[in-house]
Amino acid sequence: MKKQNKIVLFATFLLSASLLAGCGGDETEKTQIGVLQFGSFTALENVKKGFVKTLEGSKLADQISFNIQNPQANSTTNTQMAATLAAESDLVLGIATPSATALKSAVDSVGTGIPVLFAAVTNPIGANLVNDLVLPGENVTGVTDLGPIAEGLQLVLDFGGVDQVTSLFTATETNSVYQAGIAEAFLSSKGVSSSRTTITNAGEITSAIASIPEEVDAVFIATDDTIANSISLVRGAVESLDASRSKPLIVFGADSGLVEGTTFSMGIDYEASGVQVAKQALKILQDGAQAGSLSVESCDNHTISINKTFAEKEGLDLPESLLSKEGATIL
Amino acid sequence: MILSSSTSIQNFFFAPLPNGVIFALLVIGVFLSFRILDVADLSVEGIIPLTTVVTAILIHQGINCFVALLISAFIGLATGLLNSLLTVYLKIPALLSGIIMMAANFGLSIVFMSLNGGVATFAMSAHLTAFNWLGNGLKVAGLSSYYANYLSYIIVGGAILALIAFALYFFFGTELGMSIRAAGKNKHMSRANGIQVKGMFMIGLSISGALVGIAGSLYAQHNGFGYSTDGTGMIVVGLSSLFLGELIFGQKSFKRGLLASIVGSFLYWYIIQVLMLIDTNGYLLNFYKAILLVVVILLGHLVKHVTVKINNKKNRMRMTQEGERETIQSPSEMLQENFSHFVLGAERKRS
Amino acid sequence: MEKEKILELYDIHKTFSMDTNPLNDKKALRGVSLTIYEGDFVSVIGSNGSGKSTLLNCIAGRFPIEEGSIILNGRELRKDSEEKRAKYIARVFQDPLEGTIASMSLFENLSIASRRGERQSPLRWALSKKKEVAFAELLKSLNLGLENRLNSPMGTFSGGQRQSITLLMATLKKPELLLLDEHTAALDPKTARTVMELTNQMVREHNIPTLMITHNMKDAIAYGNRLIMMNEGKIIFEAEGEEKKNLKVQDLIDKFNALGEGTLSDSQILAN
Repeated sequence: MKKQNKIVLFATFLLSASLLAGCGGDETEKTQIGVLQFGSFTALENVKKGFVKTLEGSKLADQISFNIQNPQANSTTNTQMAATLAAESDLVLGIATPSATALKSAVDSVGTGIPVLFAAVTNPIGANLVNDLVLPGENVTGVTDLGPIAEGLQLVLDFGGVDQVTSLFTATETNSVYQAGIAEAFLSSKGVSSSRTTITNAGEITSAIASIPEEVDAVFIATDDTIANSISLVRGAVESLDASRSKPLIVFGADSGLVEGTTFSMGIDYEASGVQVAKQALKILQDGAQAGSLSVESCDNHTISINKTFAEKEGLDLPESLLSKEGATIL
Repeated sequence: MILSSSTSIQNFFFAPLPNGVIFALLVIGVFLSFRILDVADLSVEGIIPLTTVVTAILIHQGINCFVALLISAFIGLATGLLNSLLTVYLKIPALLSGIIMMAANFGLSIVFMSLNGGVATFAMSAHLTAFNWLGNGLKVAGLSSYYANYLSYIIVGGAILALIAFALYFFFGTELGMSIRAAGKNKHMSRANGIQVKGMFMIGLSISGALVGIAGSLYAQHNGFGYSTDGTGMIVVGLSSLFLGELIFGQKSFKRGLLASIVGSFLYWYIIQVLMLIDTNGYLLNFYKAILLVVVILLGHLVKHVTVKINNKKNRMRMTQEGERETIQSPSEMLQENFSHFVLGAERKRS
Repeated sequence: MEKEKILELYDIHKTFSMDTNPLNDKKALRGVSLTIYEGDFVSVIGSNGSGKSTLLNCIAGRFPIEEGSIILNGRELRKDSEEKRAKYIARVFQDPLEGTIASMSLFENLSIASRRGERQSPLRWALSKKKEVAFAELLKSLNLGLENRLNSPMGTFSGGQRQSITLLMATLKKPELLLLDEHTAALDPKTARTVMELTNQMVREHNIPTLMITHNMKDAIAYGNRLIMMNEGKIIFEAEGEEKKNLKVQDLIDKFNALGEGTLSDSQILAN
């Protein structure tokens, strides 16, 4: 008796919950746009902002409704949200690699074949989202967040006397590993040696920086969420390391969100990339384009921020090529 | 509340199924370590990411999904065995050895991901997984891809789950299985009856690890990728699910424990689905999970209160007051008991 | 006719290290020698810290010994583990919770005990209909009304019932030696008497060589054919046969008092 009662109670609970879910009103005629944003990191928030703002300002504004979900960087929640969005949307956007890949897998599994867009993904081929950047085929396309790493590193070399650069990144972040590889390729083409300084969580930042050897002249920080969230730690650690060095470290960040703890940073404008991916969505929704026929885009809106106060405090002379950059924000 | 159409209700029932069926194996693993062997095994949070990463890489390399599943089971088994060796021979408290194995496995998952260029993914459309081989077949047979997909989770996942649950049920009913249960509950009595307590602990923890390894592999096959951060919060998933299931089935017998693990897993993911409807931003989701745990524990108290009353009535008719002894524990009692176990773990292991 | 030797203890030493300083070591046993013959039922008394429990635990294998030898029916046990010795030695503990598994059923507990010290097969069922019938039969002989409760968890039984069951478990597979470690001390006087009677009956019936520690001097005199008294890790007094039968509780208390003040605990005096 007792057990049965409990089961009946729970069934009632499930049923009422699903009925509640069914009482939302008649939004079915609207085009459902599902957004899965992996976490609440600033860069990802900016992508969402750009995406939503652009679509809400478009002619389709009245005909679409958003279902924005955020698993707060939890893997299992991410998967389950992806399953729901894949089945209930007419178009989905995955912001950051885990969300984009989960959405693609879910759409593949459910078999609805709806367009899957991605943003804030650095290496869509490595993540198996697309096989080709120019003509992705199938139902997936998007905007990568690969910044002007080579251009930024060239500016580092312009400081002069740079023989070794280390990449500081979180080993668990796929995008960072990929960017470190790009940086290393560029540096070796310039005859500069490179090394890696990896961490697995924010707690290791201070000791990782303290262990950077004297022969390293500059640090490259990728678009790394873990480090971006603790960038003040980087600054503190660099300051105390510089106190014991003959020459201050040059720190270059691949995202403007890193500027507080870097000499200068140069990356894509995430909000602009959100606008770009929204335009792809409009091409699909308005003009009936196939997602697979739209090339994967990279974002050309770069932001440069120079932390002059930090540089001066550490006794670094900024090169003219950096100071003369157009549109640079100087702190 | 954006969900509205009939597909929403349908989705409400289908979306949690894959997680429910996959993580039921994790919950059984947690049940074995936490309830049968009486240790909180945190290595779970390392086995999951290592096996998701390994599975994704192997499948991407063209290895059969079931081979990847077996390799993952072996990784889990080896982890469980090493973990128990640390506890049994190096006298490291179980909580700490679990943390050591978690860190080691987590570290290995990072190494494997780095060696693979920082990613561990495979294209679902190009490779067969434990689930989609059947899903594809059902699609060919004319079923809509939506149903084919979820049906494959119900059939394949259900079959694997049923197979493992029955195997465990029978194994833990044999002389060896019963000795493992005995060794976990009462070391003195077990030794006095010639049961090799250390050996039983090693076997038990290895089985638990293997189950978690299988769950990790299936999770990667469900996602199409693995991440070294996949393990975060897994012990909470396992314990919450177990407590939920025990609200219904109690913990009187091994069979009920198995049922509690399986049903609890589904309950947990359905509740998460409800919470997702309430909070799509996910800001409060973790907070809700904490509230969920409190509610489960309070309900546990209530259930205990009611069962004590009913039992007292029954017992009064049958036996003297002296003979009464309550065995049903509420989750909060268990937590308290196990907390002191964590703290005193070293002390206990000595005997 | 010479009686057969069952257990031979030669000069057993056991020291507990409190810390790294050897001066702080506690010498629990300082050369205990004892022989138990076939049919012996030996009661052991002694004040707290006299080493009687340590002696039992050393025989059972819970504590390794530094010196001496333990020979059971001609086998040297000194190097064997507790689990290995369980094949020959059965035990009943003071704490009723220790001797059985509360969360497992009476049937399961009996089943474990019925294969004490034997290999545990991963293929053979632990519980069978045949065993169930046999166990029910045995329980019936205890007259405790337990035969219909084979499937109840041990935790639902009273302390007295649990100790009786533990006794039954210890004799399910006849041991070469039975060790009783104050197995009635945690029970109320009435139940303790019942359990003690049952103990006597079982030991006599199955003719099991037994070593019993007790706090109760009356019991120590009333039961068994031999009595030994321990103090500070040594056997200081032995009595058997007629001599033991004629002992009075007061004689034992006098012996304790002669050892010096404070060695006899209040509980032992109150127990009489």
